[in-house]
Amino acid sequence: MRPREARRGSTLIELLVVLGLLGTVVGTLASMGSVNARLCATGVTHSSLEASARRALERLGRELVGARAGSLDTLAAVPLWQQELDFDRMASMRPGDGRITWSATRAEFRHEPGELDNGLDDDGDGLIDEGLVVLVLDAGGADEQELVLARGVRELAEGEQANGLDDNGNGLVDERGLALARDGRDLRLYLTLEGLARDGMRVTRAIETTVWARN
Amino acid sequence: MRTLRTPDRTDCGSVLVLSLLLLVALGGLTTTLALYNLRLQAEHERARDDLRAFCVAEAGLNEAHAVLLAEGFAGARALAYPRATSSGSYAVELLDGRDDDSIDLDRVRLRSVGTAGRDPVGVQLMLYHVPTGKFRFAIFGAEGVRLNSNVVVDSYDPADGPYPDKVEFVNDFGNVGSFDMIEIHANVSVYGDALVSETGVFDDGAPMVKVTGDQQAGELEEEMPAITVPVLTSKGNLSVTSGATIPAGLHRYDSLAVTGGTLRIQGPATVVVDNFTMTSKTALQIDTTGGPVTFYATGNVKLDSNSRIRTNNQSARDFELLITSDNRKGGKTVDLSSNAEFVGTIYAPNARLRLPSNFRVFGAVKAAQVELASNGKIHFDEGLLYDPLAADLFEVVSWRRLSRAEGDAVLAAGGSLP
Repeated sequence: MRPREARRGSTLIELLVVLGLLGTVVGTLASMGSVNARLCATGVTHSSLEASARRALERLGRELVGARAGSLDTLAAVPLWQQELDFDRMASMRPGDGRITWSATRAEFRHEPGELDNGLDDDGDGLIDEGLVVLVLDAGGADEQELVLARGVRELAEGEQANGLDDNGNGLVDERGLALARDGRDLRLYLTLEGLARDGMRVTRAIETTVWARN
Repeated sequence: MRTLRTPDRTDCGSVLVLSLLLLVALGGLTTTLALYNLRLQAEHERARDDLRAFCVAEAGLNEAHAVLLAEGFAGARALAYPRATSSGSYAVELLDGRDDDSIDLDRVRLRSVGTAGRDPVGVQLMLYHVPTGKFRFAIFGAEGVRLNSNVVVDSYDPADGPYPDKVEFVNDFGNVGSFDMIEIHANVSVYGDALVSETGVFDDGAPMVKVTGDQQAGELEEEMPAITVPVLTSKGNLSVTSGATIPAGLHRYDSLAVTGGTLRIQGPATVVVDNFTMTSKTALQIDTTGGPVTFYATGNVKLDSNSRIRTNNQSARDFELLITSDNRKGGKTVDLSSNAEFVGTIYAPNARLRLPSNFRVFGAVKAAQVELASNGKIHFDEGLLYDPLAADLFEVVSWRRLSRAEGDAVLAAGGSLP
């Protein structure tokens, strides 16, 4: 009989140990999972913003590289910048002589619907004064068409503060999330996007590129 | 015993199951993230390779353009493709409008395609091959051009042989230009552009008018230089009554009158005549077999109807008729009423020329004013557009990206240089 009671006691202890171990393992795994999930969410948002910004600048760059160079002469030169640009875009080209038909085009920053330029999150999406990059084809014409190239454009570029200084060292002063500038014959395009990860963490991604108008 | 051991086993199994479930969930999450990142990475790499291919294509285009500017067609055609760089390889196709009808005569097209591991990217540069010849219009009248009914203006390339019979037109580089005015009457066909300067006007309200190219007012650059007449010792007057030959060489006459038979001028020759007359039923035969003929008329020019001008050359560059006289204010007489199958060029910067319907020009006419009678025909000799001794000049017209199909076509041809 005694050996039987001893086994009963040891079984209870084993059970408690197992439960303790189980709790530890589950807690550790849950903690790791939570961290991992947060990192995943942040990483996904980060990657998504980068991809969006890259696509937007690539599209804008494609339009500008074929644009009429003369139509870009009024673009502000570094360190000045602007967040809207009217230019002549190539609409078509005659195959025989290569003559181009031009189309008025506009690229601009525009606040997202429901968002005002007031330092508040008017539309309740967790972002403040964010905007869009809009490309207006055949601007002012009968076939005017608006394309949204990117959403979540930050009011100020990454690392920049409205203090009259070039805080992020890119040569522009107090530039906005979309900034366009001329540097000699080069056109410099800057875009900063921001978004919220699933855990509410704000993620920012900035991209810049340089194009040269060929026409 | 048994009742206590059984729950023991159940607890151990639950730990394992929970652990496995968590691991599977984490693994799934990690895999999803990894796949997403891989997709983004692939997109990023594709964008990078596209950019690299674009840069390679641009490098090829700029190289070909630079060589074309510096060394002309010969240098550009000597480049071998495909060419490899540290980032990829490229091939460039060069097309000269004089060799290919798919682009205009005065255009040169460069197409460059770069590859850098993935899809090729192509770019195109269209260049204006600036004319260096004296003529780029079939008809240019600085102060005005009048095309009466049924006139036909077109172009042809004598390198392809003589102008064919019984065709509506051959090529569409039969351009007409004027600084001031172009007047087009009914049933006129201009196979080319009709251009006036910014202040010029068109009068083209007649029915059945056809202009196949541009018809526009705009910036128009055309030179009307004064004629420099060579200074030669006069041989007096030459009267041809029953046929004569002016041999090759330099000749100057105070007057040249053909009143009977045929006057033959053998090239190479330069003939300067103050007063030139041809009466009815006489003929002027220009023989450029041995070389070109340049004929200067500095005074009155009167070629009666039924006089004939014949040239045996195929290239309009071989015969130039230069008239310095000014007949616009009742001064000198310039009357070209003869029958002609005229292969050559007529330049009269101070004269008003009226060409009769049976004065058919295979070349070009440039004067202060030009009028073509009804049913007149002028066929621009495309060989006049460029001076074979002058350096080629090019201006960029436009640049664009190529479609995938256009790029593939360049690659399929191996960047051939026709």
